[in-house]
Amino acid sequence: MVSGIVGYGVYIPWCRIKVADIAKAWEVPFEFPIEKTVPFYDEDSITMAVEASLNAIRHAGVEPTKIDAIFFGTTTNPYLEKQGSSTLASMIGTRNDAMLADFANSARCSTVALSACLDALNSGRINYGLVVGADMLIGRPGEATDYLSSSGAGALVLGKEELIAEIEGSSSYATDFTDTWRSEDIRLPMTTHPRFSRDYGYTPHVTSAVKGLMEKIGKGPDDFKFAAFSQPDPGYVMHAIRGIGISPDKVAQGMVSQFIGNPGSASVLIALAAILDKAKSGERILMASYGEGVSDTFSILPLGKIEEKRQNVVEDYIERKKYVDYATYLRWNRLLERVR
Amino acid sequence: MSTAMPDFWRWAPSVHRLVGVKCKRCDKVTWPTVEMCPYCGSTEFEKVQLSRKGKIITYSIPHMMPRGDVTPTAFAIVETEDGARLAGYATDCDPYEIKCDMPVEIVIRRIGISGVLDEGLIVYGPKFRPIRK
Amino acid sequence: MSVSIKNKVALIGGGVIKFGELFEKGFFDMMTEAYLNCLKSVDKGINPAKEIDAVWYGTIAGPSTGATVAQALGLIGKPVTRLENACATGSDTFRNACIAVASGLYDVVLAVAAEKMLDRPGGLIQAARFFPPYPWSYAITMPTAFALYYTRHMHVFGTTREHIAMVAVKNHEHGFLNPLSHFRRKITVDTVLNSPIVSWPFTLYDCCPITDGAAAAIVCKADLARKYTDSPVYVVGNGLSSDPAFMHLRTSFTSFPCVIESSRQAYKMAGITPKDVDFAELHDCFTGTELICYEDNGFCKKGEGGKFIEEGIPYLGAGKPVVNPSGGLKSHGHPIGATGIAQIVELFWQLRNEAGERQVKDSHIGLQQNVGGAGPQVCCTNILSNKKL
Repeated sequence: MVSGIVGYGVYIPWCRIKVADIAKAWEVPFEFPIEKTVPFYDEDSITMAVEASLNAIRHAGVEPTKIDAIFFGTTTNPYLEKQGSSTLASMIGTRNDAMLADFANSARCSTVALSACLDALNSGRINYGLVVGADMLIGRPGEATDYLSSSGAGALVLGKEELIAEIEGSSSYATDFTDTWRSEDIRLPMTTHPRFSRDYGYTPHVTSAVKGLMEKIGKGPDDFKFAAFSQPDPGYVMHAIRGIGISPDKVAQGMVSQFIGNPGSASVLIALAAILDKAKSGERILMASYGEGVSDTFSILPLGKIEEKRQNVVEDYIERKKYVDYATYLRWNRLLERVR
Repeated sequence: MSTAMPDFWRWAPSVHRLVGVKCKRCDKVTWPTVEMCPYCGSTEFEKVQLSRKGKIITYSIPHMMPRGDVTPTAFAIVETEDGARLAGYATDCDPYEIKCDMPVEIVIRRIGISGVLDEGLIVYGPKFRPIRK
Repeated sequence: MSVSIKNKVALIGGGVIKFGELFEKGFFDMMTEAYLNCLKSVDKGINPAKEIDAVWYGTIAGPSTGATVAQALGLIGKPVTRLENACATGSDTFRNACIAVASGLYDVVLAVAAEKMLDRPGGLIQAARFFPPYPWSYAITMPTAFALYYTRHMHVFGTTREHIAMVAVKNHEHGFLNPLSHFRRKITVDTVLNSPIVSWPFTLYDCCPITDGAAAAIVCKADLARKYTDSPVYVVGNGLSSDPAFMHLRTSFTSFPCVIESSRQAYKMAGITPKDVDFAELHDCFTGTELICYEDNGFCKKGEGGKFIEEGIPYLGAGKPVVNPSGGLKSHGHPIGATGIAQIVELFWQLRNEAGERQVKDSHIGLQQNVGGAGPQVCCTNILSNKKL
């Protein structure tokens, strides 16, 4: 039996900031019309994950009690020790015997969660699984990550019946390559030189993983109509696809980072959702995530049912917006606090 | 917020996923779950899942809060589609957008962080958001 | 109700202190001063140690045991009961003192109350003492809790923010004539509307100030009254009622059912209707509360509170009933526990023609009322008259 996507959902915060406004605060000239999301002061990875999950479950048309497992990936769990999947389960209303799993530590944790869910489905252990990727990334003020780090969530309900898309195969490529890190002593993520990160990190690992996938399932670049990539920086994607043979028009639909920034583990799931909003039956999708030297790739084939259950979630959420200024952004992210 | 983990745990089904009770005698839905119907005094209930949509009954917009560290936001009484009442804050909106009888949806957000007894616990609960598009 | 206390209890003495920010006076300093003023007001004198049989003591945040009061007032050995009922503490303390006398158990009872709100900053704004459904659900303050009602009232009946500003203007005008007021300053509708918003639609001037104060009153069996004074004031009715503590379970947001019920009980016991009330000390913790109380006490029809104040009816020297001739909580202050008894003392002076410039002419029946809690949870009403009804 084949496993795949039964339903999908996203959550994109309401408030946005124009990256040009951030640059202006630092007196850096910046012309690009890109924006990123700003989480409201009462949001965190859990609240965003819940909304995306409820959206996905509603789209899938299954009762929460039918979900047999939750696979939750985030690098920004509200606690250092206290699992997020159990709080999610309480908010969604899954059964007590549903399996709960937290994934963490890199932006690819949402695709690790996805792989684990596929394994559980394919082994016959579960019938329905919920995969969620949510993050609330805060960049170092004034640095490149300040311009891109944002928040959001994406969720998929995976199953074996009533699929809107089949997951045909997956592959990974990994080395120990540290281009983003954070620790108890370092509250906001550190990053390396962007070109080092792109040329020795993102591009080679994504390229190798995609090539590995294509060999495994016997498909080539022309077999894919769309491609969804993790977008730590939109420039990285454009650089990587050259070596894979995927043309820019295939990634265009999933390039949401110019509107929402980089919401960490949610980035690739939201890019996928933007494509699922438009893809027709048979229009194969390549999905590739990246996090610190590891890339996971998947081949996803939309089926007839996708057109019956058509929705337009990504555009809907992107269009609902309100701009805030840099001071509000700093205050809500607790980068600007009263001195006690 | 001077209460301990067991209290938060007891309330979780109601505040995390809007479980309420429907009175078998008078059919009214009460939230959070209670032992005695506040409308008719009956003790016979069935658990129900509240609708996540409702409308604003009334609201006020506090500008002066005890420690002044929250942006002004609207506090409202909301009635869900199934007739249950909730009270809480509005979110994802400019507070002056809120009006009586306006349709809203119920979302789960951070309400605060516990202090005093069991410190540092993040508490989640329902808030109201205007329906856009 | 099987027994009425109408005409069975007389009010023979009442005393207050000037309300305000009283940093130099401690809790018992204030209480003692009010108590001494009360003893002085008993026309033919009273020997408290011998003649006071019991004490009812009201406070929200003051010391909790009655023994502390017995010690402070030189009444060690007397039975003292401490009572708390949110902002209705004062009137309920008085009501219980009356019930104690009417029961026949005691001949003379002292009702005393005090509140120190200002030793710590914040006072009423911080004191959101109510019961949200789950402990951390929301931290709202009193202005927000009451503002909810006025928002809905405006939506349903078309009353405006100008209407409640007029209530503030009236109470400041009355307070100007009251030497004991916390504020003695006339204002205009614009003053109110231009002041900072505390909780929309209420501005700073729609809210009563944070005040320290104390008050005391002595009641006795009606047939003993002449021993103490030739002009006693009789307690002719009282009532107490409660509304759901959880804000979201209230049945109405345009009226206060506990006010309707508590005033109904008091009118019934006194055998009168709202039209018979000459003046009323209502609970204007917020201007919107007073406006809704005009309707809920039956002084005008539901929804017509705005018209009532617009037409100037509750002003001194204008119509009937005069509302808050003392200046109300708005202008003379609201030391939570003590307010109710201070209002009773105002009735005492008014009904004996001792109210000076703010005297309500030819008054025989006065109504005193407190609402308590967040968006009221409780209402206590007392009706007094200078003749037996």
